[in-house]
Amino acid sequence: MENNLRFLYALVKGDSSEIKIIYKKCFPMVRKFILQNKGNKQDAEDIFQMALLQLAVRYKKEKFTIHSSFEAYLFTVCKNLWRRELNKSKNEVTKDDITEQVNETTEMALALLEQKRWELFNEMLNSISENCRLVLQMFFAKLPYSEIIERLNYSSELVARQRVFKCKKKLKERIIADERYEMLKDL
Amino acid sequence: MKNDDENSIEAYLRGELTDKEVLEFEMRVTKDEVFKEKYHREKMLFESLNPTKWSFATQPASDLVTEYEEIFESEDIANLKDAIDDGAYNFDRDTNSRSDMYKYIAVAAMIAVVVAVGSLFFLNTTMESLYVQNFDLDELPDLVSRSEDNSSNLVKAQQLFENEKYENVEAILSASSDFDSGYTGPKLLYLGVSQMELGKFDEAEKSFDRLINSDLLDASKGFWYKALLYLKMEDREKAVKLLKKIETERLFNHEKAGKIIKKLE
Repeated sequence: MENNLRFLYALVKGDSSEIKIIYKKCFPMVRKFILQNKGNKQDAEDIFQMALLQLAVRYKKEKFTIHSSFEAYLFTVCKNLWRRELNKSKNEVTKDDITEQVNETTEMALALLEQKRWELFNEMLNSISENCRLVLQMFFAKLPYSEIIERLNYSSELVARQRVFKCKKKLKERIIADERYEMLKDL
Repeated sequence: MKNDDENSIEAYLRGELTDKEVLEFEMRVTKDEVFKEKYHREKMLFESLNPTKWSFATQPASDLVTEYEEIFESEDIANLKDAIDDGAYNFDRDTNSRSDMYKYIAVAAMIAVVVAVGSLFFLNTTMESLYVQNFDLDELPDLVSRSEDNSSNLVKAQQLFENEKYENVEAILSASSDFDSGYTGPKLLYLGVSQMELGKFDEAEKSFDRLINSDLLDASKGFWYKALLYLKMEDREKAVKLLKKIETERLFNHEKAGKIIKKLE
């Protein structure tokens, strides 16, 4: 984790020699991930650059802390940006609000705020008990209740549904109690 | 207890409603503002925590968005874009002159750093990175035998696979006509891998099981690809169990399996 501040400073300062080191450490894995998930080399480069810009802008604005290694965090941001990209066309088709075409800068700002919201939700999911986390992960992944019952040894669907209800309630309470929620809920 | 609204929103988001119920639901969202608000809150949670979806912002115009837009448009960030281009260019130049072995070491080092992250927050990322690192297309046997006619479906399937057209590969390899000549190990592997890449995890598992339970030459490879499937599914428990079997029984890629187990435990 000693590299976290070093690399964040390098991004804010625009230090190209340090950025080259970030490329060397992190880009091959991001490229491999994107190539194996319906993307090409150009996609990988674009996503990587967007992620670096996102980190720099966020650090300039709020001096946030990375709780893992810089490399792991950057990989997660890239993975999410790519997931966003893959879901984009679907979102445009199904969106029920009429919105104007947004420009590139707005897209980058929105992606950054969505990442912050994603982090809040995932942090809270990981803060509840392991049993709750497991059942909710299966629930959100849309596993049929029959499978949830089998995997977690619940006695009936009713028991499983009650468990999901209680765990989801707990999760929502924690999310709402977090100070970041107020800012991100109306996004 | 849950109220009816919450039940119906959940059922809609989990795809459990009939076509008629879906239409009624969507109609209500357009007409009932309070219900629409509840739906958006639940949708945000679902899409954020579903591993394949993404929760998009629905309010692009707000003061908060503007604050970030201004930083993205600042001179500092314009300079950073130039610096990133320079860094990328220098990286490309160095990479091209590097040996394949050096590249491998760099990626392996990166993986080692990432998998060392112990927090639950990054557990899924670690599983996924292990999948990415260990899934080597070069290890798959050729789908086409030397005697194969160039116009055969298998030749087409091999080409489609190389172009990542997994849906077409699955269609060809699942086609009934192929049952006539019987499945071979490579066919089942390509079928399972295509299903895995398409996110059809249950089908992929069945294909690999079919290979494992056969007396085909590649049967033991089925265990390895099934273990990769569990990594991709981020099912740690099943992945570790199967990898231990591969290691203990010295099946295909047992050394790699041992290394992955150490990283997962």
